[in-house]
Amino acid sequence: SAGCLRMAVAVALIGRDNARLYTRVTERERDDYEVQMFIHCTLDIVEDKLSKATELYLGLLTSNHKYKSYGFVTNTGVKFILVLSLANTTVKDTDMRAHFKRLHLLYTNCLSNPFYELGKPLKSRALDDACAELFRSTPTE
Amino acid sequence: IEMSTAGCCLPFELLHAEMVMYAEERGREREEDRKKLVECGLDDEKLVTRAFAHHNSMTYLEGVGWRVGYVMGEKVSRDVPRLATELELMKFICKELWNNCFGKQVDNLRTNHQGVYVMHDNHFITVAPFEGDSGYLDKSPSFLSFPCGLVRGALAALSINAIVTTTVETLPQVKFHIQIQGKTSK
Repeated sequence: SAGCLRMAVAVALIGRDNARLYTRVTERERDDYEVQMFIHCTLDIVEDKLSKATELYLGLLTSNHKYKSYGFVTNTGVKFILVLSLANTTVKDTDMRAHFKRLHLLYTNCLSNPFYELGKPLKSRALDDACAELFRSTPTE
Repeated sequence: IEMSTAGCCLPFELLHAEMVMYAEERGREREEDRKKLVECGLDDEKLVTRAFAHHNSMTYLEGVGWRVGYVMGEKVSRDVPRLATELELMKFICKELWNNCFGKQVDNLRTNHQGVYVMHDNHFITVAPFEGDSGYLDKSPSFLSFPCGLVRGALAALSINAIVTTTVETLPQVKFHIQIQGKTSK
């Protein structure tokens, strides 16, 4: 059925020690534990892919009947995960790279705040806005 | 003190010099507080000394440097490809990180391939104003605490647990000694 297409349904930032630094899920999926479980599964895959990775962008990680996830791990071991709906078939690698680069920049901006305590959950309006942008639905043809 | 004419470095040099002065002033004030407490007739002088011992001007500066270094490690490593080996990480420190934080690259890197690295900087930014003046040699540790912390913090961000110290023979040449303690959890 014709509907709306979002870039992403969830964004997660996980610290090097696997602390959850930042998680946002689009309103529709928020009550569903499926997305959270999917992020967990994705994290396992990240560890695997990381050992063979030659660059920061990891690409498509895994998918199930509803979602697919993309990953990005910084040189400092911070993991970025973007969960997309399977319905999003037009997404390109170049787009994903750009999204991750932006998220990485916003993350380092948070770090640069001297009042931010390392390892604690991130509080950033810029990050919230970036997620809102990713979750914004655009009507499909 | 002769001011450096490198325009872009000057703000940091000035700020750092002020930080050192501030830290030392704080150290003096704390020492006065400690003496007062002891004079009050507190029975356990050792306890008081220990209570005040955990923070002197150099550990304070090193701590500030660590936090800054952690962020710089994150920021500067953003634009480089994945650093896979320890040597690549050290080269990154010598080139990109040093350039961004200290205005130039390390001039010489030596290692024993067993976790010890020595970085020679022939003209280190925080002691550059002391060039040719051997009278400042004993002041130099204060001016190298923040940089040591910065390097240690950047390494920590990159999952490397290390001890960073410096040795100085002729200012402004500084040797940074990095002793890796084993990687932090990934």
